[in-house]
Amino acid sequence: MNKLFKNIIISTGALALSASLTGCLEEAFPVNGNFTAGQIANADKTALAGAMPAYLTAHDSGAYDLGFMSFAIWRDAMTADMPCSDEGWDYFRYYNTQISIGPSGGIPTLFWDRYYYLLQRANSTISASSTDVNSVDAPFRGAAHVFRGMIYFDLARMMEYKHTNIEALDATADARNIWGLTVPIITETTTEADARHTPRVPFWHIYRFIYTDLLNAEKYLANTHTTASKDMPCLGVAYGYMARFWMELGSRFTIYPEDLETQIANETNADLASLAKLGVTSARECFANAATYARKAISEGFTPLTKAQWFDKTSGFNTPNDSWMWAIIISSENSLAKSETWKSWPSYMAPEAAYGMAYAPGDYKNYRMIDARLYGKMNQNDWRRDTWIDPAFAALEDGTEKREMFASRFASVTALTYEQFCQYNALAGFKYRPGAGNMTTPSIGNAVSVPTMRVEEMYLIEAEALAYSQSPAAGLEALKSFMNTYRMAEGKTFYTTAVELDDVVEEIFTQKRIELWGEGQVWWDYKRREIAIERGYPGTNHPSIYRYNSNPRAVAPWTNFYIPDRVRDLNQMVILNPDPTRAITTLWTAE
Amino acid sequence: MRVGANAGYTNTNSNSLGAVFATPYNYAPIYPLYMRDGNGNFMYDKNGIRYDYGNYDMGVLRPIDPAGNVLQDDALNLNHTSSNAFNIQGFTTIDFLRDFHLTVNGSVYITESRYHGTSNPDYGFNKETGGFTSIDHYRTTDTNYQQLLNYNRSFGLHNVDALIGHEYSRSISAGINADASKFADYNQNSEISGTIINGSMGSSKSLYNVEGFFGRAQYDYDNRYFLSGSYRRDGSSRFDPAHRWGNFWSVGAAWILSKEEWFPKSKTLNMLKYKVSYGEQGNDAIGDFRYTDLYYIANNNNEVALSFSSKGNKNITWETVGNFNTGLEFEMFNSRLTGSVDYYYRKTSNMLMWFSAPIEIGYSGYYDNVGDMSNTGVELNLNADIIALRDFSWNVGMNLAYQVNRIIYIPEEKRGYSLDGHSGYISGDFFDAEGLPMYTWRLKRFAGVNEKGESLYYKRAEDGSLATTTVFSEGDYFTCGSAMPTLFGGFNTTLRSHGFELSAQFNYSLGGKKLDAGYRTLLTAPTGVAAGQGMHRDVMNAWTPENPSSTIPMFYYNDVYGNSLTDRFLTDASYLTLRNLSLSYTLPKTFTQKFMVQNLRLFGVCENVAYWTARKGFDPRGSLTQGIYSGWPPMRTISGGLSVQF
Repeated sequence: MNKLFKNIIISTGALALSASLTGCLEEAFPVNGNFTAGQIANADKTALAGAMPAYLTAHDSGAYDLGFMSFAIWRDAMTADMPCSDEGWDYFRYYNTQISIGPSGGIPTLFWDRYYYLLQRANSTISASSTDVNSVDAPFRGAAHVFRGMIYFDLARMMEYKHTNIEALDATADARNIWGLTVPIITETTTEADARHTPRVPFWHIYRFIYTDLLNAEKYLANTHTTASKDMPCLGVAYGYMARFWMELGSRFTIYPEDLETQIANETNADLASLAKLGVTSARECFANAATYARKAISEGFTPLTKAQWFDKTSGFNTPNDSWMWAIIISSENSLAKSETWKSWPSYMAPEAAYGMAYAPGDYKNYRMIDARLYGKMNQNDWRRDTWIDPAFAALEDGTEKREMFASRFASVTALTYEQFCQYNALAGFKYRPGAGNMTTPSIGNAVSVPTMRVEEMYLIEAEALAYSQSPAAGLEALKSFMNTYRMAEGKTFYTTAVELDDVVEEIFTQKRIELWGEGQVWWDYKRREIAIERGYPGTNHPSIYRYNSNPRAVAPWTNFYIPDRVRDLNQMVILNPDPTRAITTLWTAE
Repeated sequence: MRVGANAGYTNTNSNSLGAVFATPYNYAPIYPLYMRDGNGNFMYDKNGIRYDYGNYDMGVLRPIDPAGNVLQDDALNLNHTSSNAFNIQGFTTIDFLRDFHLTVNGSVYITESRYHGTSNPDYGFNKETGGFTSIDHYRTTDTNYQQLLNYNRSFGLHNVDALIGHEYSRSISAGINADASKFADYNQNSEISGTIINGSMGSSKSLYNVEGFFGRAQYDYDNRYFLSGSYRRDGSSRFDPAHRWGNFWSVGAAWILSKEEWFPKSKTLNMLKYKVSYGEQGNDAIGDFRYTDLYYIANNNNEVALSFSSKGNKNITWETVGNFNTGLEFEMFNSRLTGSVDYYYRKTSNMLMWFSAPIEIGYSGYYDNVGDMSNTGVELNLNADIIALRDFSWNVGMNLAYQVNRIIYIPEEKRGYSLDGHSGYISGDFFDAEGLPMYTWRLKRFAGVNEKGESLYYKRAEDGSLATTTVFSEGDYFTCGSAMPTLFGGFNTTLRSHGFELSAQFNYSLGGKKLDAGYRTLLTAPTGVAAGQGMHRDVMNAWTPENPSSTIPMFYYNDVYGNSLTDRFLTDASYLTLRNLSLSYTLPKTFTQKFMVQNLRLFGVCENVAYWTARKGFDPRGSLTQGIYSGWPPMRTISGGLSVQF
């Protein structure tokens, strides 16, 4: 025993001696979820470009952060169009209560950071890809220009301070002289040192920057008419962004003719010589361009959803089809599908997902509804009506009549039973469905796609653009054509009393709000057209503590995003926007 | 030749709890813990008494922490870690040529740890998913090899000791994790195999290694004069190959004056030693791969995507702490009073710290060698046997350090921001600038409460004078003092008599301002749907028309900024703690030896007995910059025992 012990000690000591003679510092490489820059120097560019769509689903621990798809929820929640059933479990409430949206809140940071982190991916793809339009890189480079155009277009619209008709805020904007300022432009060649001294550029600068990106997108995507999956933009998406872009400019120059003059004056600005010129001299031309591009997008072969596609219980609004131009795709392996199952698009938006927050028979009961006034504007023969629970149905007591109405109208819309369906209040929306219609298994139900651009929007942009650039009648004709061809029950005709420009545009806007409900698109129209957001009115279905009405003929203060203080701390050229926190204090109450 | 080895094994098991301390702080004391029926009786389900989770399925929604009940969760959920640690060390020493010794040390530490966490399928957020379980296992293998060649020899009164060596340390860590949901029967099987829906999984490995070459020489003459010097060169895998190696050296000298012939022999001052030294130490504790850009492997619709994950800085290298120290050690009154006085100047060069970048460039920051900092101070240690009788003794000891901390250098390109006459850079709520201490707060300043009960904030007027505003976002930033203490230390005392021993140990810290986040939270008004929080009693003293002199702003629903983060919540971080109090009794040997017992001792110890702070309820021991709030304060433990020696 003693000998054995001695041997162990001797051999351990000898082992220490021999092993120690081989020691030498070794270069370490990560063997986890990361590569070093050196390791991927020769990586496939598909993988680098894939970082852009992949980042759209990047998300943090916050329940309200699903990446870019949650921005659609945020935006629609910010408008008057998509009330939630109950504020208690509403993770997207901050802009509704106007709390945590200023310097002390983390919410503005969420938007700012996500967009600029996405920009890093777009800039990297641009600098890594060939400038040759015939190169195999062209689709990536073109896509990166779409991404970058989208980023700056979104940021410019979110961060530019527009009139609110709230004295304290507008006076602060005056004092800080921030009118017309958008965001700092960072390109693929900007250094970190420069980024610390980059001001918010004025609208006339960023418009030309965006326009240049979108022209480049057109150039590099000239032969990319479809993509393997809808998560990478194709040529039609570049056209779609052009259409959105020209609408924005058309409205702006209509509301602020002096901005048009400033824009024109800067066409020859030597500092912007590397950027494309807009080449317009009137708002009307902007709208004409919008109509042209919307039509180009439509002509790329996209077709509006049919009624059957819209209401498909397994694939409706969760699977790309011919109407979808661009989408965010959550595969079954995405952590948004696999982890924290209650934190997902279907959980918040698909009321049939039994594991989700929006499931009324469950414990959370936080589902989304359509604004009562908006629903009231819908044509009786518009087949989209049954997307939302008819108040007439909700008002009925349980009985034969109600059961028959369910059978005839809603049984084809939802996979829920009559008893489950009856637990939802009037106007609850059943547009979005869990993946494959699977209501119980999160890993399947949460694997969904979310559209970020559909061709229907192009038809509506075209109609509005024609109304402005040609005549109200031309716009109305386009709207009627769209409605009658694609949205009215068989044999029924769309009817509207609108004749004058404002009424025609308003009618188009109404149809856009209905068509794109939940898609986060009409927020841009509220801000573009500088129209009020009203959640308090007789018959409102908004939660009582959300019933704030913004001032007429001005943007709602909460749609002027606060720029996080950290941005200014690290780049003192940035001047911050006024704090929109509780800018409107009067809560609407029924008399 | 000598060889030796030793080996050890430790097994630990722990189960951590949820926010059981935070909950009573955070909740208003109006929410029930249990569900009760219409008659006020407990309700029961398969898990016993039904706890109130504050969600719609159990009645009404509790606005604070809905769908949560920390006590029931702690009872039902697992949060368990079990670890095994093995270590083995071996050495071989070969003595040769009379004065040379070659020593080779080798050691291996292996730690493996398995975490098992679950969320039960009956209540809370995982009810809908049928329960959730996750397993996380990792193993780290730390090896260290040293080869030391030692020479020591005495030539008469000259003593020489020299060493050269080489050292290599390697740490390999490997982990695997997975989670799953929907249990078949949670109570009987909460492993992943007890579920039917797989969640995420992963595995990873890492390597960190450092290598060092070093030499050291010591010389003394007659144990009276001492000289020493050392040099070492260390390389770390945490830096780019071009910046991997750092050089560190030291020199020191000491002189025991009391050994000199001429030194007066007296009991008043029976030992006196003077010492002076300078030594350097390197620091690379910043985590792996900070020197290179990293890209994470993302799943883009089931295709591989490589997405930027963090910015690396190729130029980072070792942070060096250089410590100049000089002082006296003394023994007085026949060594009944011993002590030392030291002056030190510690310079941290190339501080390795996070340096923030504007998000617009695509990353939030990176580690960089941001500049230099100094700590200048005086340390005093005293220990006195005040009474030393056979049956009664009283010992008192104390130590204190007075320290001035300053950032002394920040490179020009990092000095992009100026405030209150200093230039540097903003780091969260702090301002790192030349001439200021570390952890200097950069906050807005509270200017009191106006006649309407609103909070006022200071802003700088055009002419430089101070004005006030009620709009928080219009308030300006100021430097608001540092969180660093200026004086800290401790004192202790021991009384012994007739086998009894009573001792107490106190620690203290003076100066510095820390954030009292707990107080601020408890003053925060309910807003929107955020309600039902606990409140501080000071809320009752908030401004009202009847209480117009209050410095606490009006408390009302939807007040967003009244209690915003300002210097108002910086609180003097001075504290005094009674760290330890112990009492023991040792039975007389004459008595215990009758039972063949050499020593029999009874003792009781209380740790973390009490603390006193500038504001009652504020415990500044939380972190360098904040008080403890909703976390675990140092636990007061009382233990007792019996110690027997045969």
